[in-house]
Formats: sequence, structure tokens, C-alpha cells
Amino acid sequence: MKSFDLIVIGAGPGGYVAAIRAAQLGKKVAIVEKNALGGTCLNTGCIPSKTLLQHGEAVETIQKANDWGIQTGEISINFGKLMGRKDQVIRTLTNGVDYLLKKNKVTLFKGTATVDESLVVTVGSEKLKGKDLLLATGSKPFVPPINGLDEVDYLTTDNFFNLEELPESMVIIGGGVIAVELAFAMAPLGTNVTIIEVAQNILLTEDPDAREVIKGQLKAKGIQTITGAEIQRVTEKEVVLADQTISFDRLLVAAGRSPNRELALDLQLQLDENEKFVVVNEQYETSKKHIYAIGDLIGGYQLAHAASAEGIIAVHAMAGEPIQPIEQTKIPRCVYTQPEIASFGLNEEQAKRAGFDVEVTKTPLAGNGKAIAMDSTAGFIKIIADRKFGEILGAVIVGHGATEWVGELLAMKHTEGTMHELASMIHAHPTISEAIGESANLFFKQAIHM
Amino acid sequence: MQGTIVMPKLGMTMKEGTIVEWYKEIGDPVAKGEAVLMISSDKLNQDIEAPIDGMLLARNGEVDDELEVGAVIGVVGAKGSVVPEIEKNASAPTVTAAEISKTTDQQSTVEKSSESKSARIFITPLARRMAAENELDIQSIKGTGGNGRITKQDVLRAIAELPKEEAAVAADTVKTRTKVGEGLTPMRKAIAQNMRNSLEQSAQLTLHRKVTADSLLDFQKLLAKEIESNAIDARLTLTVFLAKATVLALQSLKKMNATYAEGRLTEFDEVHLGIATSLENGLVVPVIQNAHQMTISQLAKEMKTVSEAARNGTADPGLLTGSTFTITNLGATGIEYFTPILNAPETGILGVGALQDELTLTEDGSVKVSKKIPLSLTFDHQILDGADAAQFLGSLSSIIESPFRLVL
Repeated sequence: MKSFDLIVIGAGPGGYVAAIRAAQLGKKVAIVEKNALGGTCLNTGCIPSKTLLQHGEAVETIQKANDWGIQTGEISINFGKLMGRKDQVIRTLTNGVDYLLKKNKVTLFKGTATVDESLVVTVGSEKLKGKDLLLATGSKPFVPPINGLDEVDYLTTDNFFNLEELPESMVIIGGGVIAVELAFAMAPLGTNVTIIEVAQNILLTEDPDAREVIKGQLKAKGIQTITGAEIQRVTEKEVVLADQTISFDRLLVAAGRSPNRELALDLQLQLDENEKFVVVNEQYETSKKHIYAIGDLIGGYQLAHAASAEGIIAVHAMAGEPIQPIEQTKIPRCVYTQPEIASFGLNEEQAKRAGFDVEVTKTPLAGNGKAIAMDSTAGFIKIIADRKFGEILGAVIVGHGATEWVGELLAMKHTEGTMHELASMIHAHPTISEAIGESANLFFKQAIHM
Repeated sequence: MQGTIVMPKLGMTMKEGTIVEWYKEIGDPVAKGEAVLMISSDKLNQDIEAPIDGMLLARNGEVDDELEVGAVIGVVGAKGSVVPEIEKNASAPTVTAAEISKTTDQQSTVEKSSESKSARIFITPLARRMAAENELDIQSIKGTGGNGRITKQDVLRAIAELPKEEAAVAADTVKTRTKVGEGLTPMRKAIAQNMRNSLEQSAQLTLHRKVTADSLLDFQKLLAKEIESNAIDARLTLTVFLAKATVLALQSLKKMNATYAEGRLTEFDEVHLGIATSLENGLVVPVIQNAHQMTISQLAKEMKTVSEAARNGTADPGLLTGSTFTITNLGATGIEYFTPILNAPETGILGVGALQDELTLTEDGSVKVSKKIPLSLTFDHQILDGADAAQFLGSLSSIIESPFRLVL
């Protein structure tokens, strides 16, 4: 039996980050992973999807350039090569994680972990004993019960990124962030994409104004969106709805994710009222002493950066250090569509319910010099602020590169700057992010260009 | 050489003043002691004089602008000299007219400390705003952010740790200052705040009672004649007699001659009598200091002096505060009974109505016309009970009915 201060189960962005930080704090750390290092994020999530989206964007840039006057021949897609590049990107990053684990002397055990009553972790023939245990087991694609789905060769994000041929047509069941992002990735490559959503609208987690911008873009790309769909059954080549039949070459089911709870159930950890997620305290300790849980397993925002932040707090708490609990309103949420959506904090309604005297400013990008020059004016900046002190309560940015420059607003909020500082800060010109300053000045009814 | 004109503090409660009128334009010559402008506090108007000979170089505000006490209103100096930048609400480097308010004091300490290298205070912009709003001294707040920076959480903690009353008072003053009386003239604003504050801070109950005034009226006539023949300069109104009777009654029930504020009940031996006086655009309560030491004629003179001063807006600020009990007389308007609002933090206020003719049965069974005065006594039920208040009205009535006691 090998002894460790901490055993981390799961080497995704929650687990490997926590393991490295614990090692930096002087702990002897083991990490167990049954698949590839980097978890969903690196292998079947954030990174491969962003790579494909980059391909789609390149195609559209070339198409735009042709409109501007840069003439090219017809674009032909070498899908195999594109997927090869995607594999290379993943390989670079997983190798990086491997290197970092070694550098920090974190011992990696490959295989599936089981845990017994006395917190002994078994991986294959190895038995490990840890003072603390961190569950970072993540989640898997949720597949809703649909007639006939079992008999069909459908894709989930687990195997979608292994496609070898570009599908002529693709139906995506689901209208959330993952589904819409992959529609944006595939349509420019030439795939005829249809989104089928059972709910009354797509992107229900997003700001309504942002949703409208994205719906406009979906339409412009020829992506058909069916909402309020009644899916009766699925066959080898068709999705049969109550009022129509949609045929496909490939079918992708992207209807959310469900936590990998096997270990949590074995350990009889307390679950939330819906029996779905593991319950933890502010230090991410579960109902059992010395067992911690983070990431998709505990719900909240199921985002890589949330899991990493939780993991870091959990290991500092294990080390007995005072911790600052994560403020949910400071976690950014990103949608990599075109334009991108980046948001954080409270929306107008939540802010009002929380008792703030709310002022919402919204600045469209239509008049922004850089956006016009880039031929990318779809979008806006919306800031939700408190009138009394000018505190920044939340923001929604829809625009080219929004996920990068939302950082300005986050930094301002994180350091407790207010609308006063945001309005008086000098923005570089020409930039799309100038619109943040404009939106802040609008708060004081002093916007120049509106 | 330059001299600054700052907003003076005209009374304990004054926080800001309003510019009523500028007598001088920029560039006008002024002599030391010459009136440059008129300001008004919530209670009175006052001319502000030039501190030195010279000319008016700058005006930091227009008519109707409100400035904090201690703020620079104007600069007087030699012709052609450079005017230093004046910031609105900035405290003057040389404050001649009055003490600076607490807020300004704190600000200047903070500025000082941020200049000295060793005591630099790190605080986030949001935390700084919240601390200022709650009038917290940021030097006393412990910062828990990076580099010991004071954050929003630290300020919220500091507010929560304030002694309860202080927090309530702080929250209250903030609320009162920003909401109550907003958009009204300074005088109405002050009245609005005082009335709201009074109703919020006490449990008010009003008792009504009629008292026979026939003997008092006879006594008034008698004394009036005496005064005339002795050429004493005093007008003996009924209010003067009632004031004297009230002073006597108050001395027999000190609980009624008391103030209750900030958790402290103070009963007074001395009677400082407030006389509610209506003005064209509001009302003030001039105070007759040490009314218990005065004879009826002294009271009459003093009442005339203070109420005239109050009406003309020339009352010394000290004359408008410090009462221990207040009388308000609506008799001239024909009103009988009403429910006066306490002049906080006092525990009682007497409302006097118009004289009424009534038919009464005399001891021998015949009917006669009799004059009655309707009295309305509002008291703070936190401090006194109905029986105490009734006892006070009872002793007041017996004095009014046996008016010779007024001069014994």
C-alpha cells in the first residue's frame, strides 16, 4: 500500500489543477485517471470544439474576403487534415499536463479507481491510502430517452470528435451551448445542420438579447433551428417529429451532461434534493470528513475554469489555510459562437430581486470603428450596475472576441472597481472593447457616441 | 493675500447651507466685514461677510446651490491674483467662520494619511464609496484583501460591528438625509425631517381637556390695568399666562419636562420653553431660556423678542434649540382640539385652542356663560403614561382656574 497526503480521482481541469497546487503546497499527491489526461475539456470538450470552430471561422473569413475583393478559388475542405490538426492540438495540451504533473512530482495512476470504506483507493493492482480524497470525476453526455435511439449509430461529444468524414448533413438534438457551438463549427465546412430542441427556445441559459443575435446568425448560416419539437422516434436516417421528418447523414445528441457519480454513490455521500449532484460545503468537503468533491460532480456552473477554481480552494482548505469562497457572480460564462457571448454575474431581474437599485446600459457595436473595419458589428455590451455605488453586478458581451475582452470587466469587478472607474478608464482606440467605456459612460448619461 | 469664505455652521444640527443671494459679482471690490452673500440654513438666513479687504475673485456656487458646512463658497483677494482651484464641497484650508463638520474632518485626515508613506491605506473604490456613505473612518477598518486592501466585505463587516444604535442612527441619518424632504426648500426640508423623525422615534398619544378660563381672563384684565398704570412695556397675551402656568405645572411633574434621545432620558430642573411660531413659509420654535426664572412681564417681553427675531429670520441660532417643552397655540385660527407632534426629543407638547363660550351651571343652579380653553397635550408614551399626562393637565388646569398662583 502506498501512502499519500492527497489522492485526486480524475485528471480533468478540476483534478489536475488541484493536484499540482496541492503539490506546490508541499503535499505528496497521487492522481488517478481512467481515460486521457485533461478530461472532457481537453479531449472531448472545450479544446477540440474550439479547434473546429477556428476551422469554421477561417472558411467564413475567406468567404468574407472574397466579398471584400480578395479573390480565391473555390474552397475545398480536407476534413481528415483538419481533424489531424485537432488531434495535434489535443496532444500538445495533454503532453503539457503530463509534463506539469511530473514536474510537480504528482504520481499518476492510470486506470479506474474504486474506494472502500476506509478510504483505500484501488487502481488495478495498486492500493493507495490518502489522508484526503478529492473526487473530480466530472460528467458524461446525457442521452435523453428517445424512441429508437438505442438502435441507431448516434454520436455524442464523446465520439463526435473522432469523425473521419465530413457529414453531408447533421441533426443535433439539443439547443444548449454545446449543440449551438458545434452547429457553428460544422455549417461553414459545408455540413447541412439542423438543430432540434424540445424546449420553446435555444440557449435558454443565455441573455435573451444575446440569444436573438445568435439566432440571427444561425439563420444567416443556413442552420435550421426547430424549437418546441415533439420527437416521436429516431430511425437510421431520420428524426421523426410530430409535424415533419428531418433526414440526416449523422445524428449528434448534445442535450447536456450528467455527473459521474459512481464513486460518490459507493461512498454514500450526501446528494442534493434532486439526487443528482454531490453536496459540499464552502471548502468543497462532502458529507464525509476528508472526502472533497469539485467540478461537474457538484453542479453549479459546469465549466472547466469553475472546476479549477474549486479545486484550488479545496486543497488550500485541506492545508488548513483560510479561504475566500468562490463568488458565483465572478465566474465568466462563454459561448463560442460567432459572435461570441461572454457573461457573468446577475441579470437585471436577479439584481432587482437582490435588492439593488438597478441600472442597465446597453451599447450596440454597430457604431464601433474596429467592428465596422472587421466587418463584425453584430453584438452589444450590456452592463448591469447598482445606481447607488456604481457597483458592477453583471455583464453580457456579444461580439467578436468577447470571451477575451470580458476580462476587462471581470478584472474591474474583481478589484471592486465601479462604473466610475470604468467610465474614467482610458480605452485604446480603435478596439471593440472601447464599447465598454461607452457603456460605462452611458450609466452616467454621458456616452459620447450614442 | 487671499481669504476664503466658507459655509458657516449656524447650529448644532446644521450640515449644509443654501446660497440665497449673492450681493457681489466677481470683480466687485469688497471691504472686510461687508456682506458678500446671504445663505440659509434649515432655520434661518444669515449674511456672510468678507474676511479681508479686496475684491471678490471667485464664487463657488449659484443661488439655491447647497454646500456642506465648511465648504468654500468664495474667495476674496487682491485684484489680479490667481484664484486657487476650488472644488465643490472641498474643505477650506483656513476655516474662519465655524468648526468643520465631522465628515469633512474625516476626509482631511484620510487625505493626510494617504500622503504619508508609512500609513498608506489600500481600499477598493467600491469599499471607499460604501465607507463614505456610512461615514466610517477607513483607518479603523481592517482590510482582508490582497496587500491588506479593504474590500466591500470588510466595510460590510465594519457596518455590522457598529454598536446597534449607532448603526441604526447612521442608517437613519443616511435615509433621512437622502429621502425625507427631498426637493423641498431648506426650511420645509428641515420641518419634514424633524416631523418624520419625531413620529419615528416616539410613541405619541394626545389627551384633550377643557379648562375654565373665566378667572384667568379676569386676572389678565386686572394685571393689564396694573401694567398700564405703571407704564410697564409688556403685552400680556393669554399665551403668556398659559406659558407661565405651564412652567409651574412642569416643575411639579419633571417627567414632562424631559428629553429622551439615544437611549438616555434626561429630566430638567430648568424650563426652557419652546414657542412654536408660524412663518410665511414654515414654522420655527424659538426658545425662552430659563423660563422658570421669569416673572409674567419678563416672560411677555422675552416671548415678544424671540418670536419677532424668529419671524424676521434674525434669531441667534442658539435661540432655536435647547427647549425642554413646547407650546403651540392655534387659538387665533379658531381651532379647538388638535394632535400636536412632539418637538423631538422632548416628551411633551401643549396645544392651545381657541377660547370657547359655554353655558354652565353655577353652584346655585343658575345658567351662566363661561369661557373655556381647549387643551391638547401630546406626550411620549414611552416615558409617561396616561395617568401622568392627566395629572399634568390637572395641575395645569387648577393653576389656570386659580390664576393668583401664577404670581405667588
